[in-house]
Parts: sequence; structure tokens; C-alpha cells
Amino acid sequence: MKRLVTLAATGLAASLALAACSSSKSSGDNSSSGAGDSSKPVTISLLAPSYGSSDKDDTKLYWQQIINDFQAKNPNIKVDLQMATWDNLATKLTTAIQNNDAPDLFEGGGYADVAAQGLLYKASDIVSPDTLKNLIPHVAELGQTKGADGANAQYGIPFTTSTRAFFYNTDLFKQAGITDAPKTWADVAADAAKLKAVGKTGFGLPLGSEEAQAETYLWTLGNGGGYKDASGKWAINSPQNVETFQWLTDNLVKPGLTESDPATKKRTDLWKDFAAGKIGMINGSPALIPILKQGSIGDNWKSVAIPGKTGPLNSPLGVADFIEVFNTKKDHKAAVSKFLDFALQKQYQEQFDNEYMLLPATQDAAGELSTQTPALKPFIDALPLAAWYPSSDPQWDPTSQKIKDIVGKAVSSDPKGVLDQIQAVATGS
Amino acid sequence: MTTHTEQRGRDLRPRRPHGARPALAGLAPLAWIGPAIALIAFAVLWPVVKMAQSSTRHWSRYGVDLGSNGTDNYSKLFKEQDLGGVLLRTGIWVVVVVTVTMVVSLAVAQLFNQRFPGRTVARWALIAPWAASVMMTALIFKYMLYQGYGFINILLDDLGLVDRSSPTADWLGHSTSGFVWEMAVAVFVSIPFTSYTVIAGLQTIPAEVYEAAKMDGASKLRTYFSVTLPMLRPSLLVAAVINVMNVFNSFPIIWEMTRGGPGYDTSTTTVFMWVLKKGGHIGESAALSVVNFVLVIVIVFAFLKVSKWNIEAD
Repeated sequence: MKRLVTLAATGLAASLALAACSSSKSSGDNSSSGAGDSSKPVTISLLAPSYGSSDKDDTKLYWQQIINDFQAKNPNIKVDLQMATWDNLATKLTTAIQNNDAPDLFEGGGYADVAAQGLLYKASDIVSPDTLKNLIPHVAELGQTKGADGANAQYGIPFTTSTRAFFYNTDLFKQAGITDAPKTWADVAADAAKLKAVGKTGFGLPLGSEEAQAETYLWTLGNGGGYKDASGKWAINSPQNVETFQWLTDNLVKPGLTESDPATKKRTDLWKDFAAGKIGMINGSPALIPILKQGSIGDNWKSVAIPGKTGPLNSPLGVADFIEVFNTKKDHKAAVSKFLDFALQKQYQEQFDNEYMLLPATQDAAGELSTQTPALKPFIDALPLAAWYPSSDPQWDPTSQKIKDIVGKAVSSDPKGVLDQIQAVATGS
Repeated sequence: MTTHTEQRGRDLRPRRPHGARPALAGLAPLAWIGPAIALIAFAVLWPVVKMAQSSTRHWSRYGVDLGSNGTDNYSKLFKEQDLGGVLLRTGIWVVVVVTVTMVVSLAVAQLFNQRFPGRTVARWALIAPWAASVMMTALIFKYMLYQGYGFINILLDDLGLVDRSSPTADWLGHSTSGFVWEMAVAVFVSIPFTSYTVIAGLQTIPAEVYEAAKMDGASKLRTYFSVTLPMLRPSLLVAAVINVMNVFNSFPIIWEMTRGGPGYDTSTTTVFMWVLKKGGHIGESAALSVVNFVLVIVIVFAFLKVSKWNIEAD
């Protein structure tokens, strides 16, 4: 009996110690001293995702240059830069907020949910009226949502935008004897089968945790579906969407025309495989172009409008990435304002867009880029037509997370059941 | 300091019948056990209380406490469609990993208890998987299992077993094969500790009992099952209990290899706890950690009870 007790006690203590380890860290430090006025030194923090291919940290260099320029002019303000991959950006931010250690500035996805919690400054409280006026109006409008006070206001400050397109490898198309770019889903399936016959992966379908919400949207839009219906209600398990995933399962995944197990595959990995000539077709953004330049594919690719069930999509998917300003450290407000006005200048917007072939969020940069970089003009002109994520809905963040978690299973098991589960998260039931 | 106290303790005893001293004497043991009690209260009991408390609060996605929530977190948790599968998988995970680890470790320990040239080096090598970070081990296995160019796939391809670029070779992409590989890695990292515990046990068995068995003409097999195994019981028990808890709470292997996916198909309760928290369901996650905690305790007690019953039956 004694041994039993000793062992049980050891066991109890060990499991308790483990349980203790898993409980959260002590609350973050609010001790950073210094008032917002530039006479006292202050350190503000910025959390941003890496836009380039993961082996090159060039987004870090981009921000670091802005920070160096800014610090040269404002020696009392230090900017602490933290980078994350898209794959773990949301987790990193959520964990920081949960630990009461939110960054002052966050660049990336959704803002509506945090704004509703009263954690954000309004855009008009932070950036100067000139900067605010300079934002492309309909993109700035996307940054509007209900704050904790129940009133609609702009909380998300757009930083960069992009539209999506369908990319294909012209070399592989020639080898497979395909002459025209696909316009419909049936074309995609037929061409993918021909590409498989020459030993390549037909279509890259990244439904893993990185950006499954984009791939899902692109395909469901092609069938007249999407995340919300015309009346603005969540419609993730709509018949059109279920049909879309059923079609993907039956016509691309089961016949082996995609990479194996799409549910676990990341966009960045598949983009690299496409650049290496292993995949024939893939959905991409202009940010894919610099990756293609580094890959063996060279210039042997083209991009066209994304095929839908009966014809190409007439409104491209637009994605806007927003900057959110957290109000947890009140004494950082003035410094953050100053930095943001500085960072949203034309020259930095243009530099970013030229580097990644993404689109700007400010009007002066859009105007100048349209003439300077003709390749971007059609994308910039298409921005007003684009279909956007429902990011001003506070339910979008949890919904987007759930999509990333499980939507990949919709092409291997029961699509309706999977979409029902996501719909339940969106409607909060 | 201690000797002084001890002496006074001894001095007090004969005087107990007189006066008010006994009350003080009753408190004397506190001087010894007090620090331990304080440590347990602070490092063990307090976190448990906090954990149980947080499972009854309503948390915003971002960790703001929005007041009491009663048992809502629990009812939400038990309504999670994936919970049943996760619990079942956790059971399979613990039973298979611990059983295989114990069986393999018994064999490994037997081997390493023999005298053979280079035994010291071999024993050192056995420590490696234990000494290496579990996360690194999991990552290396993940790389070795990559479809197309992972080392294990190249090896299997060369042996003519699996086409390394076929869908089968995407081991971690499928729910079942992914989970089986994760269990294999869990066994791999559990073997060193278990083997060493068993080796230590083997070394405590006196040579005389083996001699006696020989005299009685027992066969090797009979000696192993009737002498070695029963005498190993204490060390096996320790190894099994610690393994059960370790394996039950294991997180890095599954997280690094498959992130608990596709979907939640390779998640155990420990991984699912993190998934819930990541999705912003902090309360539910806290509720699951309470459930997890109770489960470990129940499993360990049940296990000990069963082993005890075995001893009495002998």
C-alpha cells in the first residue's frame, strides 16, 4: 500500500507540474517607460508577416529600412520589429493579446474582432487627416467596423492590396499539347489530366492551414457561392458551396490530378513547386511573380482570370492587409502616430509594391505606379470590381481560423458536414 | 540549526505530561514539513485551483475575463463534434505507445545487460534519443518522411517497397499513416528512459536467485518469466506510470509532425486543447485541461490498483 501511495503521489506531482507548465505566462510588461512626446525615449513594437519566400527575409529588410530612416529623424523613438510567417501570424497575435502584451502596431489580417473588443484606436485618432484622405477610398471603407461603443468607424488602416489570378506553366502546357488557357472548371480538369499524363501535378490546391480561406473563396465564387449571401448573411454551407467541394473531390482530388492530400499542403510550398515546374496550374497573387523569377520556370508562365464553373470570374478576389493600432499602451500613442504617417509615405508604398508586385493602399502611390509599372495597371484598375473577404464582420476571424483548420477535409470526406461545422462557427451557434 | 531543533524535540518528549508544552510540541513537526507544504501549495495546488477556476469563466477570444460562466464551457466542450474522436485517439495513443515501449524496452534492457565488447559505447548511444530535444526529433522524422525526397522514402523506394513520389509516400498527409508514424516516434523517444529503468531493475536481482533456479533445473524461458519478470515488477511499475503520464501529455511530436491534422484527425486531447485555445475558445480549452487532468489521475490510480491486485494474486 505504501508503494501505491508513493507512486500515486509521484504521479500526481508530475502531472500537476505538467499542468502548471501549460498555464499561461504571467501578464506582459506594461513597464516600458516614456511619454508619447518625442522628448522622452519610447520603444514601440510592430508585428508583421513575411511576404517573400520563406528562405529570404526581405520584408524584414523593408521594414528595417523604414525604421532606420524614421529613427534617424526621431532619435527618441525606437521601433522593435517582430516578424512572423503567415502560417503562425494569427496565433502569435492572439497569444500576445491573451498575455496582455499586444504589439502597438500589427500588420496583417482581420481587425473587426479586436475592434469590437475595444482594443484598437480609430484610424482617425492615429494617422493625420492627410494620410487618411490619401487612402484609396473603397479599400479604406473595408476597414470600417463596429467598435466597442457600437458605432461604425474605420479601425483597419489598409497597408497593401492584391488581386488573385490563375497561373499556368506554358512550357508544360506545350508538352501536354494544351493550346488554350482554361476558362471553366471542366477545362481545368481536362488540362490537369493531360498534365498528369506527362508526369506532372495538374493543379496545386493548397487547402492546408496557411491560406485555405483564399483557395476556398476562389473556388466557391466560381460557382456563384462565397462566404455570405446577397443579403449579407453567412452562407458557408450553401448548396453552391457544397457542390463546389463535391466537384473538387470528384474531378480533381479523387482522380489524383492535384498534389496528394490537399488538406495538409501550404500555399508557399506549392508556389515553390509551381516555380520549380512540378505543378502545371495554380491560383496565385502578383506576389507569386518574384518567386517565379527565382525558380526554374523562368518566363514560361502566364496569368489569366480565374476559371469559374461556366466561365472566368468577372470580379477578381481582392485581398487587403490592414494595419491595426492597439490601445493597450496609452503612452505610446503619439509615437505610433508619427511612425505610421511616416511609413505610409508614397516612396515606401511604391518600394513594397515593386518588390512583391502587390498593389498599394494609397492614392498617390496607385497613380504613380499605374504609369511607372504598366504590368500593375490592370490589377490597380480592377481593384474597385474586386470581391473581398467579409473582414468587417467580427465573426470573420474565428471563421477564417476554422476554415484553415478543417476545410481541407471537405475534399476527402463529407463536404456538407465540414461546411456545416464552419457555418456554425460563423453564426456563433 | 537542524541538530538544535532535533535536540529540543527530543528534550520535550519526556516532559509532555506537564503543563502547556504539548500544544507546542504538536506544532514542532511543522518546522520540517512546513516548507514542503508551502511548496506544494504554491507550485501544485494553486495552479490546479486556478485551472479549475478559469474553466468556469467566460473568456473573450483575447483572454479578457467576462465574468462567471457556470458550466457553459463544459457543455460546449462536450458538444464539440470532434471530441469523441479525439478522446478515442488519445486512448489508442497511450495504450499502444506505452505497451510497445515497455515490450521493446524489456528486450533492449536484456540485451544491454549482457556483457559484450563495446557495451559502454552502446549504452551511451541508447541515451541519444532521450537527450535530444523531442521537437528536433519530431522535425527530423518529418523531413525524413517527406514525399519524394525524404530519407525514409528514398530507403523504402530503394528496397522496392514504396514508390517515393506516390501518394502513399505522403505518410503525414493521411490521418492513419500519419498517426502511426507519430506513435512510432513517441515509442522511439520513450525507449531510452524505460530501458534504463529496466536495466537498473535487472541489476538489483541477486545472482543467487538465478543460481537457485539453475539448481532446480528451470529452463531459460521459465527463469525469465518466473524469476526475472516478477523481480522486475517495481521498476516496471515506475516506468509504466511515468510513461503513461508522459505519453498522455505529449504535445511536440504530434504538433510538429502534422499539427494535429488533416482536420483534427491526429489530435489527442493535449493537442486539441491547444487547437481550442488557438481558435479563441479559451474557456473550453481550460475545461478540457481539467478533463485531461482528471483523466490522468484516474488512469494512474486505476493502473496502480490493477498492478497491486496482481501482486496479491501471486
